[in-house]
Amino acid sequence: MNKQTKANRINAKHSTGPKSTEGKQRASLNALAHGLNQRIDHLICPEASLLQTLFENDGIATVEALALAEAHVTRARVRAARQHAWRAIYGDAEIDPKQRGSLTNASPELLAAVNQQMGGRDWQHFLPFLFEKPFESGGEQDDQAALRFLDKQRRLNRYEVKAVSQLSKLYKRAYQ
Amino acid sequence: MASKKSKKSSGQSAVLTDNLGSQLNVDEAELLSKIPWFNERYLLPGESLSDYDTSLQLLVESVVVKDALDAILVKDIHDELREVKRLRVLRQSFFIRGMASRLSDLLSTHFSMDEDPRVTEVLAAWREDPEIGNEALFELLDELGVTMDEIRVSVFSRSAKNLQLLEQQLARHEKNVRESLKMIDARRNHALVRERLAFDLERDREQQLTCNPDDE
Repeated sequence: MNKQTKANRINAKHSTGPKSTEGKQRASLNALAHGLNQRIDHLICPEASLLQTLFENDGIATVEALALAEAHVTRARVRAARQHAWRAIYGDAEIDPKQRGSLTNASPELLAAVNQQMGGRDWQHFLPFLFEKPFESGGEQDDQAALRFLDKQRRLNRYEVKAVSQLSKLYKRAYQ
Repeated sequence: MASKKSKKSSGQSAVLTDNLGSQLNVDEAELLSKIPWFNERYLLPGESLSDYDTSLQLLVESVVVKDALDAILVKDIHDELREVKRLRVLRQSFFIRGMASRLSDLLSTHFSMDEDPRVTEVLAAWREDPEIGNEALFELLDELGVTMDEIRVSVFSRSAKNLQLLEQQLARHEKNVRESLKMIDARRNHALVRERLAFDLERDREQQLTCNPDDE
């Protein structure tokens, strides 16, 4: 055993990582960003098996039906991730329906008065649901938020391209 | 084999099983109601649930959904189209916000907001309806020697990066819609070919029976 390996083993004993099964399970999800690279587990995603049944009932062979079902599930996962990105613009907080969009058509005078009271217009960034139109309050901060949002959407594209092109190929092959 | 008797699925608040009503048979509706993402209405704060259902219903009627797999593809198309709509609104909001900010900067630099009430008035009027021609605003810009076109160009160049990303996204979603339509077409063509083959086989069999009645 070389010196480095020995040091690694000693250091590993100092580790304060999770000990309980629950903790280990939780920590196993630490690196999970969106789960779009994960294989589709039919126990966790029973809808994949349901879709497979639908394709099989449509006269498609089992292997192709399974592939089609999984591609549909992947596409649905990407859509959910996109929706998450959209929702992040508005914030995840539960919003009182009465407050929703209450300032969308507010007059500039009213907004100016509130800005004055709040000492600037930062509050508009923290309460975007009052406006219901994202990125309309103006300023660099909004530009950056818009850019981040679009970049997130762009990064999801490759998963969607993969799923949709896979689906197209499979449909062509299965229904030729 | 699933019965063709039309009946609405009960139980979960299924989006398409609600909307499809009579188009699906009981087994298919039951299966669809168990697919969580199929029954998810992808709504954002401020978006109306009834609008979502109405537009979905219109699409279902125009595409003439025949079975559960058609329904899944139609729901995909519907959600993609909503995404396209959202992105178009976002593109417009980028532009309007940029114009408002540029106009406000320009006018407040050269005119005193307190002493010249025209500035506040024209900005408010422009924000109210950016589409209509605003003579008072044009007059103020004339005094500064700036045209609306110049302002538009500067706004475009400032938001170029965002707009480029947004256009890419729009193109992506529009392509997805086309691909999903092709998938529906592929299934329908396949069904037609199958029907045709079955018809031909039946006709051949009848012809054979007519030629050789002793075989029966």
